[in-house]
Amino acid sequence: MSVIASEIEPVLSIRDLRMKYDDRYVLKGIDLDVYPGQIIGYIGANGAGKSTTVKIMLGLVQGYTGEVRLFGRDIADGDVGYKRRIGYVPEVAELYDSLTAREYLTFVGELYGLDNERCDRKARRLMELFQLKDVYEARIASFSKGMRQKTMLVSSLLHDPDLLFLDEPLSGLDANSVLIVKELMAQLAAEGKTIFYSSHIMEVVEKISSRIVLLAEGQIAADGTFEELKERSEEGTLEDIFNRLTGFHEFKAIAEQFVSIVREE
Amino acid sequence: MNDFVMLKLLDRFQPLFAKLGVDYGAMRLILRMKLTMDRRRASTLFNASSGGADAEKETNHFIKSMLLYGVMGLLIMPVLLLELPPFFKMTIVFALLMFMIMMALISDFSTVLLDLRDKTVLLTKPVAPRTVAMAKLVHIVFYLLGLSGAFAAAPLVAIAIRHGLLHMALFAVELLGAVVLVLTFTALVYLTMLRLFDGEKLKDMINYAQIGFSVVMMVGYQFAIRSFEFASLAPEFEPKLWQLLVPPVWFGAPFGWLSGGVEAGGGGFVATLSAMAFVVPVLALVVYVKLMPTFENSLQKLSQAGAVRTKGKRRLGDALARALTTHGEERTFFQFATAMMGKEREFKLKSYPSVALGIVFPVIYLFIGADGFSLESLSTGRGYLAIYLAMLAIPSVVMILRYASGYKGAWIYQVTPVRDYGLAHRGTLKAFLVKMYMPCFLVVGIFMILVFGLRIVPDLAVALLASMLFTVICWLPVREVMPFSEPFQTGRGSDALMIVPLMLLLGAFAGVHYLCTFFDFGVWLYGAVLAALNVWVWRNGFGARRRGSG
Repeated sequence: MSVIASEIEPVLSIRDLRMKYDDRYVLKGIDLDVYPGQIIGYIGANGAGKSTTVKIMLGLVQGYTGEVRLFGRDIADGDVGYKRRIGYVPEVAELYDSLTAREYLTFVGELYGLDNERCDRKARRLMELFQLKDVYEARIASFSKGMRQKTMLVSSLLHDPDLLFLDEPLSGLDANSVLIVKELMAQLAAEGKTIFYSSHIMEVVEKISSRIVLLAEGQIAADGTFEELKERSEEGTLEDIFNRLTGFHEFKAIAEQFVSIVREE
Repeated sequence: MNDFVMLKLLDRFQPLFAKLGVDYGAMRLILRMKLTMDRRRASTLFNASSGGADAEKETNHFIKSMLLYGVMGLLIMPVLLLELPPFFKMTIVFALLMFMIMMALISDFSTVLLDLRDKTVLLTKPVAPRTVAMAKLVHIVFYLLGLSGAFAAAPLVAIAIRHGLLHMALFAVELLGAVVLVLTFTALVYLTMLRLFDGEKLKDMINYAQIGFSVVMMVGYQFAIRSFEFASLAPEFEPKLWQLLVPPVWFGAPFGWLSGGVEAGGGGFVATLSAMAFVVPVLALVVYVKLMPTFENSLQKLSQAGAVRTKGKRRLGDALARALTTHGEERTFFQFATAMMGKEREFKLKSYPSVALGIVFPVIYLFIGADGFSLESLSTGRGYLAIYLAMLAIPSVVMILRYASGYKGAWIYQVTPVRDYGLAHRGTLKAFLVKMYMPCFLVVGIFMILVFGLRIVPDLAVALLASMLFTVICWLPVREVMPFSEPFQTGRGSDALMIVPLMLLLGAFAGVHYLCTFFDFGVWLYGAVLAALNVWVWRNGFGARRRGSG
């Protein structure tokens, strides 16, 4: 963590966060402070507890122990107002797809407290930038995966949030749209927004994150900039660091076995 | 987006919701969205085009259901006009009404009650869980009131004419109580099940409840004709303790009281019953509101993977598949179809009731016959031919073998090098006969043997041969469509049209059998012919075919 940061109020502050599902701990004591303008690459193997952490912060999962403070306030205090400053793109693009893009986006905007017309205008312009002007009045059910993803991205940004939770935000997007979204994240961070970015694609995380937090078995296994992690672990790429820190070495052996089973007569 | 009348009505209750700690503005917004989506529910599949063009196609599915309920209300209106104790009449009306509401709730609104998408979309926004839960409740109440209102319209008029306005007002109030009671009761049952079992189990249970209801409905329809006979028995009210456990009796009781039809002896008891009609719904509502957060949190379980099932039956299935199929591809499809018939919930919902009717029809037929109601054939000892009624299940199920809710998975047929689609069809039809038809046939067959004795075994064997032949004939109209490759759609008129001639053919099968019983060895001859036809059809009827385009 950098020195200057400690003077600024953290956007997000987690203390000793633990969570248990049916006698199995998925989070075993997480401590984390995140500051404005950071792009956090939040990585970890499947089942490491990444989405559970995010869901707790969004108030989707109850029953945790420890403290979670967003914008300086404990989220357990029963006031859901803090969500007004959050944008969220879930891993699976779950949306009410029998609605048209316009209906869905204005609905979400209104839930965030925007008024209908302003929201409509804003959403239309944002969708236009994603080349989706023509389908703005069409039902989401007819959208391709990439179009849905763009709609999700727009819905998460309509209300100008200060904190963004993005779970695989690039999935399904074509190469050009990927460029737009990456640049978008960089510019939003420069504006002082905080981005919490979860992904399994290490190359992307490596490039866009200003700070990488690696979760392994419910605990933070590494935390720092890519350069810091590289120095510490003496590995060349984030992928290598990831494999090393999660204690995963036998990928070659598994692949060999896989091939031999495939080839089996 | 246009506004809804229902929402305008709701606006009058705004202070009430505010008092309950609900953000009315957000709730209204959510409700408006839900109502818009519901309108499109039936037609989502076809519409990829723009919103403007759709607007006209947004036929309100709900209005149709309301009409249906209204007609059913009309049908029970005569009961109310009869010279019967009001207590008894109203108990029957409420029993029907509550059954209908419960059925609508389980089949149409389980998805609303158990919606998980709400959680991701709504709870990540600055909206309190209480508001979301209340929106859900109001949403369902809208519909149930609409449906029960449609159902009760005719009875309300009948009551007003027959007994006066006071009775009518009482009925209207009790109606609300009944809706609340059914809704909260169902929600509490779901909650209990979510607590005890995993989500998949709950979905299975709802599925079976739906199947059960459909069967009850269809069977009930068969008895409906005789209900007047039953009603004219004019039962006399006798207080019994078990009546305390039957909600429709509670709702019927106040009417007994109001009419003073019950003498002082049962008076105290009737008063207790009447009190239950008002107290229990209110209590249930209070409990529900208290448990609402628990309910919402338990919903998370629905998304969790179910426990791994044991695979004890696999070996029997494998053995059957090997014994009954000749080619690799046929066997593959036999096993695949067996699995789909057992697992596809929507398919089960559509097909199992038909199979159940295949069991029920022959039995009902015999009972009605025993009352001296029906054909002469029974008295001459040929009633066992009623087993042909079991074959009614065949066309209805074979017609829907091409549907599945996961129909999109059908691309797999095209990308894999399946050489012979004919074999695929044959395997599927065999799976249908083994997995769905045989259990039905065996139950009816055993029943028939119990009634008519072992002498009918050759006849049953002939009927089975006829069933097998009939199955292939039923498949012919849909032979161009791969199994499980089309979505379920409501109101497929063409299916019904195809079934009519098949029914006539079925009659012919039974008729020939009937005639054959008048000759020595006639049945044996018939059996031999059917066997030969079967061999020919099952061998040559499935000539190698490519998937047709139409």
